Amino acid sequence: MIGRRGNPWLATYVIAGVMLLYAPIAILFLFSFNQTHYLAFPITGLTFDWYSRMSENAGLFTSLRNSLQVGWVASAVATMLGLLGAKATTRYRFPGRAGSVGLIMAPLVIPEIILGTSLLAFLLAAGFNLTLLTVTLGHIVICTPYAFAIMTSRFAGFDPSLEEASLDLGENAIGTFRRVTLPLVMPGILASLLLCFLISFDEFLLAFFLAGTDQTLPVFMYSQLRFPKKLPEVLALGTCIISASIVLLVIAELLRRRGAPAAQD
Amino acid sequence: MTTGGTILGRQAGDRAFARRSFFFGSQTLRAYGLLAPLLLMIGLLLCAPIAFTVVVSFWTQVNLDLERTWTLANYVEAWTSPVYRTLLLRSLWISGSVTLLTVALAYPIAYYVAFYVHGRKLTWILILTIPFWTSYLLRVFAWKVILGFNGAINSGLKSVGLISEPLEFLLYNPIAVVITLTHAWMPFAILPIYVSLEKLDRSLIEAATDLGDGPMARFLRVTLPLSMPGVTAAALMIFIPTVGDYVTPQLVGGPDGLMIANAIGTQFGRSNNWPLGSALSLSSALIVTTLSLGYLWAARRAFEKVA
Amino acid sequence: MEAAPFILIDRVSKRFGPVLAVDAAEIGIGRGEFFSLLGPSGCGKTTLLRMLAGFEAPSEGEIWIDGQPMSGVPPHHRPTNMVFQSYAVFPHLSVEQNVAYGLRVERLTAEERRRRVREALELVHMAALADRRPHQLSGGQRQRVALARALIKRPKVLLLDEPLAALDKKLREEMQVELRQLQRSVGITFVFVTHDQEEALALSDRIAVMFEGRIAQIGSPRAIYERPASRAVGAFIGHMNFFPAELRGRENGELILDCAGLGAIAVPDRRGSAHAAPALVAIRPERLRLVREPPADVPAVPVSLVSSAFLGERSHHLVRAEGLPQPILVAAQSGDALEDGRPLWLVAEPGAALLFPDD
Repeated sequence: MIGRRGNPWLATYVIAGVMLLYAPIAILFLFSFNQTHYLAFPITGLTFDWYSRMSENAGLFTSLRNSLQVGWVASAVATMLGLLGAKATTRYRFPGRAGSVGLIMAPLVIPEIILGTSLLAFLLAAGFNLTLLTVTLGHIVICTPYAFAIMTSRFAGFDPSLEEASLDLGENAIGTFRRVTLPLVMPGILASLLLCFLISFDEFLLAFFLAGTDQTLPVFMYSQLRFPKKLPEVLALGTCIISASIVLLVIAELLRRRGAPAAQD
Repeated sequence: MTTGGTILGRQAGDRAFARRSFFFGSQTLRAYGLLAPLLLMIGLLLCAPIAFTVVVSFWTQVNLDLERTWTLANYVEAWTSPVYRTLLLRSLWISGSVTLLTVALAYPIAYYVAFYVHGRKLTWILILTIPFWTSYLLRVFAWKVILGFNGAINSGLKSVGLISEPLEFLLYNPIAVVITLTHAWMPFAILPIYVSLEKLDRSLIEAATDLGDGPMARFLRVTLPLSMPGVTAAALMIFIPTVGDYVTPQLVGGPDGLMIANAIGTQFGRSNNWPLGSALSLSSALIVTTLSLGYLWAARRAFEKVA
Repeated sequence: MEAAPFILIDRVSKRFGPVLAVDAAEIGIGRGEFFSLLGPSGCGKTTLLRMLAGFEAPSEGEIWIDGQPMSGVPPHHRPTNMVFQSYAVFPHLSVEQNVAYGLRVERLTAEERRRRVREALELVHMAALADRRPHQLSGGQRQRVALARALIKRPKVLLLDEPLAALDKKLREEMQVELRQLQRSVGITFVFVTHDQEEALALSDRIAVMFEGRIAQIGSPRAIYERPASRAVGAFIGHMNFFPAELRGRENGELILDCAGLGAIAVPDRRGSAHAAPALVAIRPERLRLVREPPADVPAVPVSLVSSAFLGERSHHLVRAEGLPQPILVAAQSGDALEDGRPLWLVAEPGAALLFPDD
């Protein structure tokens, strides 16, 4: 019916598309090793200077620490909320279920500018100062739908009679959670933690509005983009961030897959 | 084996259990118990701020204070001022073009992975979606580097002798915004289209072939209509957030490429006019929602006609 | 039946909101019995089983097991164990760990635990696969793990929720034989839920047939097949031909009925009731015969052949008789083909007819 390889034009298009998807990232990588600070061809020579200069930038390390802190708290809280919420919506039928799911997923379809400015106005009016706490609150809002979605697919792919079987074999509710539920949803928890951390770590706009003087890493990078001489350093930093993101993403995906034996069958 | 004492003891315990489970027995109660922290968070950090924005949009900014008398003046300004109208219309057409381009460019890729990749589909999907999860800011910035006056394209073309003067039309205009956004959102469009194609029952395509359809006819009459839910999802998931994009127009748009989000941001920053910013926010949200619902309705009608 | 049954389901009802899933069920099950709950999907048989296991609480009534009332006893304190329809074999544990799962709460020595696991695995012929993971097992093997895991707890009652439904026909038939032998050798009371009437007939000591939450009949497989208590039971178990009939009269304790398509039929007047209202006569296909010549001694009606299906040792023939809109099914030992256009007569065996009110 359909050939195994298909139309050669289609295959060429797909290969070109994948290359184009990665081309801008590749160019960032390339210029981060360029000798001059002009981001232009031809490449005059390769150097690690920008990386060593980057590693001496104190502002960078402060903002990196801020980002790690925000990312860790936001991903832990979002994953916890997502875990509880997903258990409720997959295990029980109750009035308002569809509405609750809609509400939980809503931040995905609300433009960030609206989310960011309304949170800013509301939190300031409520008497908050703009600190890393306000950024963390914003990131919890945008991470939770992802955590909820990951945990929902985890719970949906897991037969509720497994928990019943454990009760039936003499375990109580706590033992059942520890011996059956937790091991089975653990890959989802780890994948959710990683993904939420990445989202928070990369997030710019909410942090831009909600951070006071404590900048996160993307806000710091954004502030550096105004200084042409700083650009190669930003690129070096970007190269490190993107490489680390890719590694974490692959780990998250492997974890997500490992827990889903149905997908392997 | 069991003595009378333990039986009695167990029964007393079991009765206590029965009372407890009666109290917590309702599925609804248990579900809302688990959902409570999540719903509380959404209520406090999503619903309350948006409700507050609605209220503020009817107030007036007087220097640093908010004057709490109800007025429609902010909406009048948002809807009549030529500046905002231009920005809003530009945001809509930029976002509309991005949506069209992204879906059209993503469809063949999703199609290829769904139908021609055997075995390592998930790896392909991972490769295609990784760019979406890496720093948005850096990817936008990369396009500034690529399209700039002394950027990768200009300097590259110059160094191979194709041009002598840099091409100025590449950066700081709406086209640059469209290119950058299309690239940034492409992976996000591939995913839902791929899912709908992957779910499609292969025997339907075989049936169309069996009934005499050629490759083009069976694509147009079977594959495409049945993958429309994925296309619709992709379109909405791109159109809605891109209308409100802030970073891309700020970095690559130039003055002619600014969008409504930049104006909203300014009202909450330098201009410090929350009521006007709120009115702009809500007006654009209203327009986007109306357009999206209209699109959904039209898509459903079109689908019914095909089916 | 004994005076005090081992399991007593005493007027148990279960409501889910407005839906009455089980309606005042009354069942007594003897010790060591293989008892089946049979009915179409949605009839309440699984709900009843889950109430025995403790996953659902009855809305009304009480369940007694071995003299103990079960209300308020949570599943992990009940003397029952369950084999789930999906088997519910823990995917993150090996076969051995799955089987040993329920022993943790029993505080055994390591030696005793090993012995019990080995015994349980040998019982279901899975000792060689003890280290496998569930995803490396076939459906039938997972089923054996689920059985061993439940039996190792030495329950007073083993509950089985459609355990064979997911297996293909050949394997299902093998497992039926094995289950029956297993039940005899361990001597545990089995309560078995199924929608497959052949399976219930083949396995059970007794069967309860359920429709729409109600128990329609309880009895041995033979009794249920040969003397269904209602039209619905007769139609659900095996094939059944129904003939609208009207009472003509009584003769020597028999009712004489005028059957559409069959003529006059005599039915024993069991209930002694007056079937004045329109009635239905029901006859199993294997108790009808097709003959070439009308016999002299018994009544016969001329019929025409609609179609024949050859099923191996048996054949099914559909024939049409005058006065009856729907064709009649006749099951016969496979012999000569009948499609030669020569006349056929239909004969009912004496005593084959059952009488139901036409409801």
